[in-house]
Amino acid sequence: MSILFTYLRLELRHRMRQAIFIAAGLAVGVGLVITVSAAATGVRNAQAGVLHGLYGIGTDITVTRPYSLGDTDPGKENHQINAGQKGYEYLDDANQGLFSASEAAAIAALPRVRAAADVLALDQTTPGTYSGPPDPSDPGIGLPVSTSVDAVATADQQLGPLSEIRVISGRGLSAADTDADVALVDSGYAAAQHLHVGSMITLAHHDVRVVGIFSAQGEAGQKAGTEYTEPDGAVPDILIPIGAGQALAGLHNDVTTVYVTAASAADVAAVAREISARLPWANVTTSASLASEISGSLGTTAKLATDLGRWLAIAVLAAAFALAALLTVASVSRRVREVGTLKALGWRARRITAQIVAESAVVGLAGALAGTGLGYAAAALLSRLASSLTATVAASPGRTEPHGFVSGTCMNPSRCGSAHFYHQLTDPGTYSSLPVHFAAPVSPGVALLAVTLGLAGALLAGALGGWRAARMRPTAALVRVG
Amino acid sequence: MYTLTNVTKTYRKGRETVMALDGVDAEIGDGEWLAVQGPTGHGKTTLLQILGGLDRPTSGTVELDGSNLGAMPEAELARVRAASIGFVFQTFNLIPTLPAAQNVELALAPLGMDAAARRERVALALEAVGLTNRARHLPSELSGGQQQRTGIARALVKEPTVLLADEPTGNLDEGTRDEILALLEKLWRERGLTLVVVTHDSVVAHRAQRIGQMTDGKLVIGQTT
Repeated sequence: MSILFTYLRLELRHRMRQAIFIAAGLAVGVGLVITVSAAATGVRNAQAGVLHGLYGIGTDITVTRPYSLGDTDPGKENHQINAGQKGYEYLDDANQGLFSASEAAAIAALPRVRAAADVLALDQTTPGTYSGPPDPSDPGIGLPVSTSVDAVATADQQLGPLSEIRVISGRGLSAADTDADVALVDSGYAAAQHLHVGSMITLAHHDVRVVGIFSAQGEAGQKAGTEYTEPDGAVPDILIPIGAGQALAGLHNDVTTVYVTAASAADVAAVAREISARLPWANVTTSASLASEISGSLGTTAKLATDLGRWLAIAVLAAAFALAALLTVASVSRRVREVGTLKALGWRARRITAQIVAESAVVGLAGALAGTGLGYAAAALLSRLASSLTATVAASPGRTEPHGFVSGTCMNPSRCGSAHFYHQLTDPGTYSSLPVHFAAPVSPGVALLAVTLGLAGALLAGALGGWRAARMRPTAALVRVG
Repeated sequence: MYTLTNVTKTYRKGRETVMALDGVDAEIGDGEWLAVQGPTGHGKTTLLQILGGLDRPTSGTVELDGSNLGAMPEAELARVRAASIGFVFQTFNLIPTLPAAQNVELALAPLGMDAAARRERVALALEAVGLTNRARHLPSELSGGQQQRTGIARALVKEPTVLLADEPTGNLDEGTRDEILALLEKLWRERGLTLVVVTHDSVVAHRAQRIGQMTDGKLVIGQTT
């Protein structure tokens, strides 16, 4: 056996340039397979993170009602306080369509619905400090400040906004808090407003006690040393029990969003269809439909990884296989004298084939291992270069518009006390842009598969070369050179 | 040793049929040295290939110690070549990437010997041809005569009963030719080999016991020299 290894070693050393060429081709193919797979995995993870940030854990379906500018808001009229004075303070729906609790209950009663949680998304608007040129009609009115307030059902903590937060101080909301004047506030909001557990905040001119401070779930998973940016609109500033919220806003039994969990993953599509059938006006979105709407650089990366990347990897690997096969067969053809001599010495065709296959296997193994290193390095580089992508999605299922205010003419005179009343514009096409931390993890299983593919390609090349050698007649080999 | 009975070998060359061997009858005894002379293209090498089991006759029989080489399966033919027949080539046919010792050792690979036994045989073979101090040299580092000595060592390391040499001195100068001839003769005598040498060189041919003339595929063997 040692003579065969010696023959193998010295033969490869003699044809080092060709061996390196073949190995390099295989390495590129294997590396590309690993990198593309890592990118695709990273994209899937990032998309899942985006969806989680928007959707929350456990939510399969979100039901909302499209907002119409013609909608009236009785709560607004009831809670326009300090009317006639500078500025307005009110708590109203966050410019989202409303539907009744009975309609929400009909969703929860559907047979394949495991759980449903109602949310009333509200905005607290308070006058801000004016810093612009004088307003002739109403001088002194500053840009209002909007604070997002979600009134949430507290019975199910695994669904909706409550599943997206982590209480870091005080306590959370319980089923007993349904009508209580208590609130949880976001840690960033608390810091900005100098709030702590026990502080009192004012909502619709009612005092509400802060019983807990929360952070978004994604913040806990943020990479150490990097700044967490809460996805705009994903988690509100303040969470209050739904009963209390409906009372404060004068929107009794109204909800803006129902979060639904289906009995199983297989039931999601069917439940979505049933909801649409029962409530034709509803906007029913599933995580799958939302995933397809993710654009931005994350969406571009997804397309590159899954479409272009996959086919590129396949094409390069196929080209590497073909190159290895061609070079090996060509090399064997040049070794006609050698093969003929070996047959004259009594070497059987299968021994000669095994020798050639072994040479290819060594080259293939070297290429596969180099390719694995290349793949890991490229995936790491990809993670570093694309560490912060953005995902752009159509309006968050929980909110129709991001934070902040857009100045403009009052769109609904019945709600406005002044011709120059600052009002939130509702744009059904508003998009949320979310920063996404991207990493391209390499799965050991994929790496092993890629190595196997590289080796298989090399062995195939060796088998072709060996077949070529086996078919050589000893006389034909000798006659050419004898 | 060898009995050839009406051996014919034809090849197709395009639309033509080439008759390389035309009804060859011959007997080559054990330990005999036969030289086969003749012009190029008249069937000398084809005859050697038939004798070595590298090719099969189109018709007729070739028997080696009573076994019909033409009817043997390829695997068995390979075993016979590995154990009983040594080849020496005009162009030496050494593996360029292997040193002399490993080139010689290649001939022992099909025999399934252990490494120690192989090394011992190789050492003896190289010693027999006077190349002990060239064992680690690549063919490119050896002279023509040294390369042919290596080829002879490779042919004899398996201790065959038959040695077939196809123009063994064809690529050598006169001085080296005589050295190789002397070596072949020495080994033939020492080992009792059946030696068949194909050559166009009369000097080489006349060192043999019998000379056969190959003309247009027909072999006429003369009297003992």
